[in-house]
Amino acid sequence: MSSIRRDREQGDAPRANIVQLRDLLGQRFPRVRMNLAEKPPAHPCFATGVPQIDGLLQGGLPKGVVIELVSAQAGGALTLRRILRHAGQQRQRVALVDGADAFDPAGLNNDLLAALLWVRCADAAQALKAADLVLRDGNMPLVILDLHGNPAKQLRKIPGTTWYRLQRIIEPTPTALLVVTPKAMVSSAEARLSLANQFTLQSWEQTEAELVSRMKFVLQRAAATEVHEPIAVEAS
Amino acid sequence: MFVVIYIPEFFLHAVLRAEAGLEKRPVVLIDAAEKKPLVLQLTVAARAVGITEGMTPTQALARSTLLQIKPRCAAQEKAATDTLLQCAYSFSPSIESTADGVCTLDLAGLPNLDHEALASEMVQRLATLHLPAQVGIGRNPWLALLAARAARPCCVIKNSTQFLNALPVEAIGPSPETLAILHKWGIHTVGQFVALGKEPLSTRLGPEALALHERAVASSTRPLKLVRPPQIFEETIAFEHEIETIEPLLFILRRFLEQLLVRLEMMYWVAQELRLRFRFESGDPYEKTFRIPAPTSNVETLFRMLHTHLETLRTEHPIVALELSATPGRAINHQFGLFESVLRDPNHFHETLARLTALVGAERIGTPVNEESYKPDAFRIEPVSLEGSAGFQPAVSPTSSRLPLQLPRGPALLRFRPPTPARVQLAQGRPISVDSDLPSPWGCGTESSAHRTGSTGAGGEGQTGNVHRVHDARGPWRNSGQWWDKDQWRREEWDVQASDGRLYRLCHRPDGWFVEGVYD
Repeated sequence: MSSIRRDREQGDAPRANIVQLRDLLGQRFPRVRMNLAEKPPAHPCFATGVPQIDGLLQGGLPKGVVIELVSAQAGGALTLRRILRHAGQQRQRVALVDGADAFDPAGLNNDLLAALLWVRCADAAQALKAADLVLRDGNMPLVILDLHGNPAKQLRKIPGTTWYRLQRIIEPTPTALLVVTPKAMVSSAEARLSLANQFTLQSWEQTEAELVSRMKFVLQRAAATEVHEPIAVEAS
Repeated sequence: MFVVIYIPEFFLHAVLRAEAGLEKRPVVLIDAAEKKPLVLQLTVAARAVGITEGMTPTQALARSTLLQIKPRCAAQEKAATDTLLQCAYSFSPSIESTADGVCTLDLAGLPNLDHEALASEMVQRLATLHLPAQVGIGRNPWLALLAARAARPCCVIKNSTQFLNALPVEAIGPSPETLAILHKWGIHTVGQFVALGKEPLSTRLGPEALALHERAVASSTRPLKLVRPPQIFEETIAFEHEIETIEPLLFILRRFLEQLLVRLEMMYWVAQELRLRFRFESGDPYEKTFRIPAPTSNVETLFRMLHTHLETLRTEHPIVALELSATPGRAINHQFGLFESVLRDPNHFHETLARLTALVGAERIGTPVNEESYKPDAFRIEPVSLEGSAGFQPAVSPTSSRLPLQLPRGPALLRFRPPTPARVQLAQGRPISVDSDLPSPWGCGTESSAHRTGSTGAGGEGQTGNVHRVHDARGPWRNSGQWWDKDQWRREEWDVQASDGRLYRLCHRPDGWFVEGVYD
């Protein structure tokens, strides 16, 4: 009897430690699921106005997390313009940290630009510093860090830990962070969307809304929505 | 009942309150404007080493090597007087600026107060403003003043006769000659003086004795000359040694800010604007006004605002004088709307904007506003609106008449600023190849180079950049403007589909061909 009790006691100690560790992790990282059966918590979202993105991310860009949009070929700037147009219509403030000073405001009228904070950075390193400041502020519901116009040489110099730092900053804030990159590089991204588009001169026959609706978004990674296979969505 | 707030050694404390810890050190005050300056007032520590009023600075320095000599400062004395009046006004609307460092309050009309508690609260409140006060309460202004002078630090007169009898005769202010006579008679207290009788005193000492007797009895009252405290909130200091680094400056600024905010709070105001002024060694002034988006009395918020600015400030000369003033305003209370994006913390956002401005430059942060011009890339940057919904135009919907009926056509342009120079080969007036050092990842040495199949070889000899064959082109779109002035511009645009699969905007200007951007 005594040996069984001893075994039980020895078995209980690590179990208690695990429970304690799980509780600690749960407090420290409230967004992390402790088991697969647990449903992901519902987070408020920032609706982008791009039906494919809102559909894939179940309502929009979730606040408090980093979302990466990989625009390897074309479509990144058009997507951003669409998001900014929708935010302007909804009177939502947006900060655009422009890593290559490449944004063209002529595509939006002044009414829609009134709620935009545009930070025109000289390079990717400066853009990351600016994004850090804007995220710490916590006043903006959406921060867009646009790095997809920056040279690859600058992007390669970004330490991997930077993305985890941004993730830690944004976690307690009601801010959504969308990072637009030319290739997958944001290791802390909760979800990664990839764009595979190409425009032709015939694209001028179509309106912005038509072009966006024909764009193909691929969900490559999603912590909240258990994605095993990439999901591609095109608006009907 | 009347209250008198009395600040002993007022001129000295007006100077000392700007710097922490000086009141415990040997410090004397002189009037630097005098031909032969003498010690006017001094701290307890200075008196303890044997320094007295009337000594020359040399004599005073001979008694202590640690002695600090401070000159009188009219601006600091005015700030201290304003502080005293503002503090008094927070207790009673009927106040009189009786003398330098003396303020009389009439408590008539106020609800029954606990006089001891009131006096100690006054002392505490002035202590937070670095003014050591003595408070006396009596049934008339003169009695209250006598109580204040005798207070350590509070004195409430309940039995005036008993109080007066115990006072030294010097308290009623006799002339030195009369005082000497009284001492010869063995009269040392006010009680002994009053016991002599009014008529015998006037017979022996003349008219002065009548006035002294009236003060000693303290039976008459007088109306106060009521004043209102000035709405000026200002603190100033002239440095003994020039300031070259930010740390001592921040230390004093924080002290000033705390004092200003306490003064504002006493008047039920908050800070709406801060004005920082420096005077450099060269004599040049510097002024910076901080408009506070959401008026506040939060020290941390306002101090961060000053700190952020000073971190980026570079001056050629050291600072010799500093002045900080606050403009009072009412706190803004507003209800947040359900469907509008209001800044949660406008002051923090303002500070963030200041930090971003320091990082990227003032002309590179803000809200873009398209100019009413056909010139491409014509926009200006305006400061971001810190107001909530008030700064925005009314909400627009896709069907709103404010929007153009048709949304823009085609993909968005990702601009190259400045445009990249290019060499363009033409055939029958149309571009057939483009050679340009496009910024990566649009140009060479990047992952995108994999898409540039067959691009080389299309260019002519001597081409060093990325040569792209043009598969299709649309144009030219000719445009010009401002032909009437020196900023005249003329251009010809082409939209081309290059062999790398991308769409570029080419531009032909009088100074050559450029790639203006990529359609993305």
